[in-house]
Amino acid sequence: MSFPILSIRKLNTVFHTPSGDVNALRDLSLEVERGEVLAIVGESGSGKSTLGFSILRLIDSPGEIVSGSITYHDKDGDVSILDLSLPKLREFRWVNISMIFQSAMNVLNPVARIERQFIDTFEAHNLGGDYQARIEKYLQIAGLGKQVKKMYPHELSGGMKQRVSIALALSCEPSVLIADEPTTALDVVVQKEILSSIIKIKEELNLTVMFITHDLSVASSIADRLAIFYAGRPVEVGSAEKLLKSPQHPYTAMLLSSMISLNTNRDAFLKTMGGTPPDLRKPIQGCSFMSRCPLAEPACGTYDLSPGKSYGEGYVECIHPGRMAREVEAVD
Amino acid sequence: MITRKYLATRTSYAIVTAIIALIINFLLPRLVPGNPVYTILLTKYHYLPPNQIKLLESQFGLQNPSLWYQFQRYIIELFHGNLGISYYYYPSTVVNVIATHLPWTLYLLGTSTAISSLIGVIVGKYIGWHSGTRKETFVSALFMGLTSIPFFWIAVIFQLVFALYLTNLLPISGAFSVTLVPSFTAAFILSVIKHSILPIFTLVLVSFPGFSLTMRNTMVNQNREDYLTLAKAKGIPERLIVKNYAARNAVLPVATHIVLAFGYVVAGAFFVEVVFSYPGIGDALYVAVTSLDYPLVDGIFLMITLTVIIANFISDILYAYLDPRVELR
Repeated sequence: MSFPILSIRKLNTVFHTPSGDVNALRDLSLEVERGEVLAIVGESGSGKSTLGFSILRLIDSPGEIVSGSITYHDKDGDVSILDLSLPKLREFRWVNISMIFQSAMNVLNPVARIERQFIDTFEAHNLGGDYQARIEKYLQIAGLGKQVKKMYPHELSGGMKQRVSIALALSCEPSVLIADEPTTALDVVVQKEILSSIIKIKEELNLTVMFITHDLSVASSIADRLAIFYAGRPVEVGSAEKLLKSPQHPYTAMLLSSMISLNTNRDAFLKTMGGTPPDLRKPIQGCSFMSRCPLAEPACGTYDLSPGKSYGEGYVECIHPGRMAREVEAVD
Repeated sequence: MITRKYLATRTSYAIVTAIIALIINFLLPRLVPGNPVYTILLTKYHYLPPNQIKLLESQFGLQNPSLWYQFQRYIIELFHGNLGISYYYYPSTVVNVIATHLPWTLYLLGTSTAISSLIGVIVGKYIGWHSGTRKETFVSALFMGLTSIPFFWIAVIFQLVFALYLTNLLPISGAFSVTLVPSFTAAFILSVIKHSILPIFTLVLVSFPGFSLTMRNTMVNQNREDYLTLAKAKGIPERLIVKNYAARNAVLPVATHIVLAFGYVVAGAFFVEVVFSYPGIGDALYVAVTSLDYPLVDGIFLMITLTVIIANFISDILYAYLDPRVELR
């Protein structure tokens, strides 16, 4: 029995470009369980950020969510995010689902003091109480002193800015936090600190975290479950432990075998993956990974994706799950 | 943040600029071929005996034709606060001529610059936020057309319309009715306002689209800023996103544009003042240049130069005040 907080069903988001519509999300279905850390892992263009933006309906022209549904399971009932009117959507954002953006350097308004950027959010949602105390509380949770309140964004370092945006994301006490590559723009040391504070905060505030990253090692260090994205869909979803130990999808298996670890043989060549992802402007028949998959066979081209399963527990989108992992192991 | 060091460097730059401008101001009118005595007096009297001409030349300080000698005299007199006597408005002093013309120009250009920058920023903010829509494309194209129309052409069209078709609705020349004596009476003030409507309207019509387009362009770029996406995600109402996020950042470069425009207020609107026979600085400059009135040209140029230098200074300080990232060291 699962208790999802977000259910995404058959979501299609496209970007209208002069050279044709790019299907960034293709019939995507996914469940986010209450209280978990779900890591969305994929390469550039796999649709992972588009998913984050779609959930908060931040997709701007030329992008468009064309079909599907996103349901937020609130304590008092379900909210269909895509059906909310604009004023309702405005009220819904941030107090239920908030987001940490990738571009820490530019997400803060350069001409306003930090406290102002908190207060206008509180005012927008008619939150009562002592604003100053609230700001200080969340700055502290994010690992910042209260003197930051009176500062301007340009007076902060990159890491501090990202901490401010974490504090901002938490300040309205949302249930779900979408972290869209929150550490990509930061150096490794700061990255480590930010990651551990996100995990700490998650435990303290009983948050559900959707962690978007291209870094499988980062994902595996913090996630309860992993969703491996490829060409606008999750190709494999499962508990982090199981998925890392025995990857079912060839893509996952190849990603894992290209990772470096401390006991990688120093003289061995690093394994890489040839080829490029398919062109999302064209309809994709069957398995999207077929062109790069060493196990591809004619049957893959007719693999049926249409049932639009929702991936709560483990799921793999391959006609011969697990085979790749076994073969990689055999070669090693 | 403005440091004392910044003020010192800026002031020394301003002084150097002023000195260079002073030299150029002095040389330019004197490089125009001709002799002021002949230009002014012979148009009035057709013939003057040579000794009279000599007399006038020495009165105007032109007895020694050496530019170096005249420049020395000019600088010495300048530091005594003496800008000389106008040839054309003889025997009025240059200071006097400027003092009688400047208030009209300040009123005309001050008002029109204030109106056009205000309208410009508001309209620009609006069309910039709605960029890409068909309406916006139309308005932007229209504005681009408006900015490229010369001031005097609009002025002439207005004169034509109000002289031929809408007669007696609005006065088309002068600063006030000739039957009135300048004074602080209701009738006089009303007359001044009525006389200024057409020139101000002309100036606003041609200059506000410029402010609008600048504001529009900086607004459009705001759409791509990440802090706008965050503001949207935070659930800030659109009205406040436009005001506190987009416009607040977009107005920064426009503010410089506006302050500099105010700096040029003292220069007058040459063509508009000439077409509407408005007794402002532009009108005085026109007379000064056409009659080779060296002291008056020098005086007006000097005033314009100094004001523009000061306006630059103010715009820097204002920018530092509006944008916390700017540090003036």
